[in-house]
Amino acid sequence: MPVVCLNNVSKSFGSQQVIDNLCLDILKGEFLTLLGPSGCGKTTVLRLIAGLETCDSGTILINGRDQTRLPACDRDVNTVFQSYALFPHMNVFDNISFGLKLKKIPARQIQERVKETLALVKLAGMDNRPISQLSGGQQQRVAIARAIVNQPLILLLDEPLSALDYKLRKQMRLDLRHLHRKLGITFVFVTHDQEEALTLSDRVVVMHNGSIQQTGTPKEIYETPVNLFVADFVGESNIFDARVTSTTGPDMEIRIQGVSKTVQNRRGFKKDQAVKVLLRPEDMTVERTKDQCHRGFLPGQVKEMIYKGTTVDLIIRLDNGQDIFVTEFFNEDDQDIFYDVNERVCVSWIKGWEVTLPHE
Amino acid sequence: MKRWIGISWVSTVFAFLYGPLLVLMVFSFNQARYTSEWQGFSLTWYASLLENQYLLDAFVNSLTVAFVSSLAATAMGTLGAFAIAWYRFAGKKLFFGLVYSVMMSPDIVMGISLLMLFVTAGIHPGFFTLLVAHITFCLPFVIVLVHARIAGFDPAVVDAARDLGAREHEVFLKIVFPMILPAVLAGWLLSFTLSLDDVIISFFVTGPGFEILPLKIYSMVKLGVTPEVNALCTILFVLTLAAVLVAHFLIKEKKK
Ligand SMILES: Nc1ncnc2c1ncn2[C@@H]1O[C@H](COP(=O)(O)OP(=O)(O)OP(=O)(O)O)[C@@H](O)[C@H]1O
Ligand SMILES: [Mg+2]
Repeated sequence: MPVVCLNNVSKSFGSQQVIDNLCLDILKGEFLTLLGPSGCGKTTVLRLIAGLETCDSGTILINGRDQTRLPACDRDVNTVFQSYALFPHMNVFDNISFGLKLKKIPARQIQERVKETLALVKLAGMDNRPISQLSGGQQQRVAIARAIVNQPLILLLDEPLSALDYKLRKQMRLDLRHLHRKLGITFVFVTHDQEEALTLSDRVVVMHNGSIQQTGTPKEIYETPVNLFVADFVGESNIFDARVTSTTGPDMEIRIQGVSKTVQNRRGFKKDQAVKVLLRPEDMTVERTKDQCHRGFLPGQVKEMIYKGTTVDLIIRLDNGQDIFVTEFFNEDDQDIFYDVNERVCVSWIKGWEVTLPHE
Repeated sequence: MKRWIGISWVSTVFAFLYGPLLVLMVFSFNQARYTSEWQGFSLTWYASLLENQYLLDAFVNSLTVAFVSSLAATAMGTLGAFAIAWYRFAGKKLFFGLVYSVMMSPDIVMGISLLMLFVTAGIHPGFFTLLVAHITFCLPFVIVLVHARIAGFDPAVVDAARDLGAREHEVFLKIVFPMILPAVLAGWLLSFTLSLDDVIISFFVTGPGFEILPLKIYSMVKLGVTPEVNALCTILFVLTLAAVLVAHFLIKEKKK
C-alpha cells in the first residue's frame, strides 16, 4: 500500500491553476524526487502533502487514511524547507527539540533523541550554538535534524541543497542517501537539478505546468523519455525531425535530413508519419570523412571542440544547418578523438539507441 | 593635527548638544532661588517639588496618559504591522504611506487638526481627547518598528512551526511573539517617552480640567525659570533617557 496517495488533486491560487488534476502514489520507504523547472508546482505538491496548503479538489491519503482536510500540525509528515526556516531566537537544541516538546515527550528522552540525531547529521556537540553562528551547511543539517528527530512517516525536502556550494552539495547528496537508508523513512525530495534527481532517487517524477509528465526510475526517465519535454529537461538531447518511409516488423526506415536510416519501431509508427528522433550526445558516433558519408550517416562539420578531461564534447553543424552536441569518451583503442575545427565528419548512432516520439 | 581637529569638532558638537542640559541639571542642585550664581549644593528644590501638589498631580496625569496611550498604541500598532506584513489588501501601499506621513507631519498641524476634529465631534477636551491624540501620534512609530521586525524574519518559520506540530496559539506564543517582542517593547518605550514629553499637540487637545506635566512646566516657565523647573526637567530627562536607552538595546538586539 502506498504511504501517500494523491488522487486527482487540483490547486489554484486566484485564477492561476498551479496543480492540475495530479495523481501520484508514493511508496513506503522510497526516495522519490519531484523534478521540474521553476514554478511548475513542486513546492505546492509538498505543501499539500504537509498540510500547509489545502487542495481545491481531490483527496490525499496518508497511510491509507483520508487526511485531505487534516491540518499540518496533526500530520505525521515533516518538512525541510527551502529557506531552512530555523527559529532564529532559539539555539540548535531548542530548534531540534521543538517538535518533541510539543508532543510532551519526557525531557530525558528528548535529550537522548536530540543527541542521537545531532550525531547522525554530524553536528555532535553543537547543542548550544545560536542559529546565527552556523554556516549555511550547518543550518541545513539542523533543519534536517529538526525534521527527522520526530521520526515522521514521510520526510519532505524542498530543494535542500540548492543554497550550498558545489562541493558541499555533492557531500550532502551522499549524506542524504545514507540517511535515507539508515532511517527507512519515505523521502520526498524536490529539485530542479536533474543530476541531483538522477543520482539520488529510487523514482523520479518529472513535472511541468502543474502536471506529471513521467514517473519512473532514473534509468527509465533518462533512457526512455515519454515526451519531448522530459527528453529536453532531463539531460541533453539532440532532436531531429524525420518521416517514416517504410515499416518492416520491429524496424522502420526513416528519412532524416535527406538520409535514410533504419531504426527500431517501438511505438507502432505508420508509413509517412512525422516523428521526432531523440539522441543523447553520448549515444552518437562520429567518423572522419574525406568525401562521402556511409549509408545512414549525416554529414556535417566540427564547429567547436571542448576538452573536459574524461570526455571531449563536439558541437557539429550538420549540412542542413542544425547544430548538434556529441560527447566522445576517451578510449584505449581509439586515442584519436581530437578533431580540428571545420573538419568534415559524419555522425550516426547504433540502431536502437534512439528514442522516437510522434511529432507534437 | 588632524586628530586634534577631529576631537575638538566632536567636543564642540557634544557641548552644543549637552551643555544646556548639563547647566540645567547642575542648577537644579543650586541653593539660590533667583541668581544664576552657584551658592552651594542642595536638594531643596527636589524636596519642594514633592510638596507641590499641583505639580505632582500633573505628573501623575502625565504618567497615566503616557502609560495608557503607549500601551494602546503598542497593541494597535503591532496588529497593524501584522496586517501590513502578512496580508494582502487593496490600498496597502497607500496605508503604509499614510503611516509615514503621520509620523512626519508637523506637531502643530496635527494638534490643530485633532482639535478641530474634537470640536466638530463635540467632544470636550480632557483626558479622553489627550489619550486619543497621544495614541494617534505614537501609533506610526510602533507600526514602523514592529513591521521592520516582522518583515525581517522568514515567514516560513511559521509554516515550520505548524509542520512540527504547533497549533495556532502555540505558533504565536512560541515563535511569533518571542521573535517580535524586542520590537514591541521598543515601540512601547518609545511611545511612552513621546507621550510623556509632548507639548505642542497636547497644548491643543487638553482642557483646563486635566493638566499634564510638560504643559505645566511650560506655563511655569512663562513666569521665569525657577530651580524647581530645573529639578523637574532633570527628573524628566533621566526618565526619558532611561527609556530611550532600553529601547535602543532592544532594537539592537534584533539586529544581532
Ligand atoms: N501562496 C501563493 N499565492 C499565489 N501564487 C502562488 C503561491 N504559491 C505559489 N504560487 C504560484 O504557483 C506556482 C507554482 O509555485 P511553486 O512554488 O509550487 O513552484 P516550484 O515548482 O516550487 O518552483 P521553484 O522551483 O521556483 O521553487 C508559481 O507560479 C507561483 O507563482
Ligand atoms: Mg519551490
